[in-house]
Amino acid sequence: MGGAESAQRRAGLLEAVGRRFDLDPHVAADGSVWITVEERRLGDLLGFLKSSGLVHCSAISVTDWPEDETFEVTYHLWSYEDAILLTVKSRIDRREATVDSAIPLWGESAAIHERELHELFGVTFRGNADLAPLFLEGWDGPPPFRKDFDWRAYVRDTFYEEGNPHERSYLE
Amino acid sequence: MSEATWNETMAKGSRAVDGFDLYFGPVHPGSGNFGVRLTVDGERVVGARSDPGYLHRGFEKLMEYRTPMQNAVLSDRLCILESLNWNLIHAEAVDQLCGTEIADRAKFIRVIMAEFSRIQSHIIWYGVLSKALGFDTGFKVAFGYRDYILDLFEFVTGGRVYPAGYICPGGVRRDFPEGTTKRIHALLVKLEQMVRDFEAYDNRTIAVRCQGVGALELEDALRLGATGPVLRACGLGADVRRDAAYEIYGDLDFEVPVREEGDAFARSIIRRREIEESIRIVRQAVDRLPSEALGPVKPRVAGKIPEGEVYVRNEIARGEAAIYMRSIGEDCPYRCKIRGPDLLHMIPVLEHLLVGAEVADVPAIYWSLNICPADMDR
Amino acid sequence: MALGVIPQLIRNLFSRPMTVAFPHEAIPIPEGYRGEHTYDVERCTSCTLCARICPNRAIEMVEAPEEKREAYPKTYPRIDLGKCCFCGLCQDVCPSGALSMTKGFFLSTNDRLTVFRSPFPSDEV
Repeated sequence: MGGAESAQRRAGLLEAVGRRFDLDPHVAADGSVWITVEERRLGDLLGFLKSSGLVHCSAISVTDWPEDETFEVTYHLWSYEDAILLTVKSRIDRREATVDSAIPLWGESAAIHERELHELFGVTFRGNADLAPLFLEGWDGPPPFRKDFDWRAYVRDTFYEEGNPHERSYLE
Repeated sequence: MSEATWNETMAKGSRAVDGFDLYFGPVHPGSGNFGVRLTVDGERVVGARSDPGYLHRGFEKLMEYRTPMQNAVLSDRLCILESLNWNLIHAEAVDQLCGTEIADRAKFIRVIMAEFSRIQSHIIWYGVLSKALGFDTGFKVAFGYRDYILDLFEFVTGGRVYPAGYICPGGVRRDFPEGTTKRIHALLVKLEQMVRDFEAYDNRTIAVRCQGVGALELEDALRLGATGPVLRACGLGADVRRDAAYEIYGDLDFEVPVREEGDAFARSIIRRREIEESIRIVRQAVDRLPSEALGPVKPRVAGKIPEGEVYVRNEIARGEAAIYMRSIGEDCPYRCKIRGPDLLHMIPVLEHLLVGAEVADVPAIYWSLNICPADMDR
Repeated sequence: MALGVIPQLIRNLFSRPMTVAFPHEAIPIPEGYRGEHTYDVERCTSCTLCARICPNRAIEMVEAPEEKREAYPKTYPRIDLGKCCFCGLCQDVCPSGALSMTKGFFLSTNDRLTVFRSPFPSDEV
């Protein structure tokens, strides 16, 4: 797909999003689109984008903003047809940490990302029945990828020993 | 883990009604460090549940505490089987955030090394698939030829398997030493001989064991998140090097092999054709290599990454890789989400393909997906 | 019927084995190989850049032993090869060329304490 044609299709999509949702997407220098939306309308926007050709859910990620008491959930989407890379960002409350699952739209490819994020960040995805532990075994501490999890203290207390000369520099 | 939690984890999502539990991996020589719990009824698999996490090192968190040059060294280990490809995508993410202009010669060197890493990864795949199917000759031929590529890596980067962030933010850590292009030409001749050997030595084994096995429909592939050769075997010719060209791929002439059948054999043929296409890409890149000298990249102990966020996609040997990097203006990235193709291939796609297959076909399906536990677990 | 492996098998009858009789023979190691470190304390300026760049914190700045402290009053890098990943960032960042990597790779040992490379080698860890 040529650059000009792709840019045209992208402009068409952005115009449709702007009309329907009254949002202001930002187009970066490399052509990728970034849209921020509030949680209330996240499901509608994602549904509209899926039906507009963004059939590939590349990744779902969570960024922890403890000072703002929010999690930022990001959906990275790609359209094979139109060669558009689009990211949807949405902030959710950090204590509640619940958001609707994207399984009805992208199926298992969204489900597995949500399962991983549930384990590592503690975000619950409503509608995802399989949020079983994925990577960690026998872990009953707080979700480890959160910014307030003191992993240095955990590693020091669990694994390091005082008398080991190799670990002297870490224990100081 | 308590018995109750283990049972809960394993039972959820399993489509099994009743059957015998057979654990394929993780210490099984045919599975790498990853396990699949199969529920079998006689010779037929009726349920499959992946058990990842044996290689979980917490990369996304580790990268938040290291500067970009240190992360470049760490990025080798995202998947050591194609280390230079992961170096490249990490370097691109940091370069985009910092707005660094990369010298042309560095771009060509990056692509040459990344393509050799892709060829080397496909060679490993061919060798391990052959071993899993019992075709020992293929295994020996493959790993024998791989050594020549590792010798080139040692000559250029200083290490055979771990290039230590050779492709780093800012370009490449050091320029090609004198005599590299001659060595590359000699190596390409050997690799072309290898492609002929693959054709000549195997005329039955892989075809018979892989044809019709593990067939994936296109709409299932899209829903399950398959990318790379797994998706191209189902009929959709999507390749990030073609659709969203990065580095110099937009100027190079290469084909993207596509097949329709979606089975293990189609994936095998695609990967073998990709080795030939990669050889073609390296030939073009070496012929057009700019000649201005390149200085080494001097690592900086401290240096702020400008604020911003970027999502970079690359085509690595196994499929689509991506990094989402968010910086708030500090030395280290604030969030570094790594998307590897294998999280999708090893859990949704593998479970979907294994249900209904015969136990004897499990290695063929498993290895035809060319999975790497390292970039799934991170 | 395709000949398959037979031509290669016949060629193999007439070619020498590829085995290299290590350690009596060796394949030459290229320049730029990232092996064991070599450290020249006379060129070191104690800038501590190597300790700060190391991704694994394998380099610790230590003081000179008592008898050398007058001549060498600052701190000097001690490398824990057990933690070192041989990436060569310390070699690249060293401004005076005091720290660099050689082609040495015979590093296996049975004693964990011998993996430390002290800046003043004749002394204890």
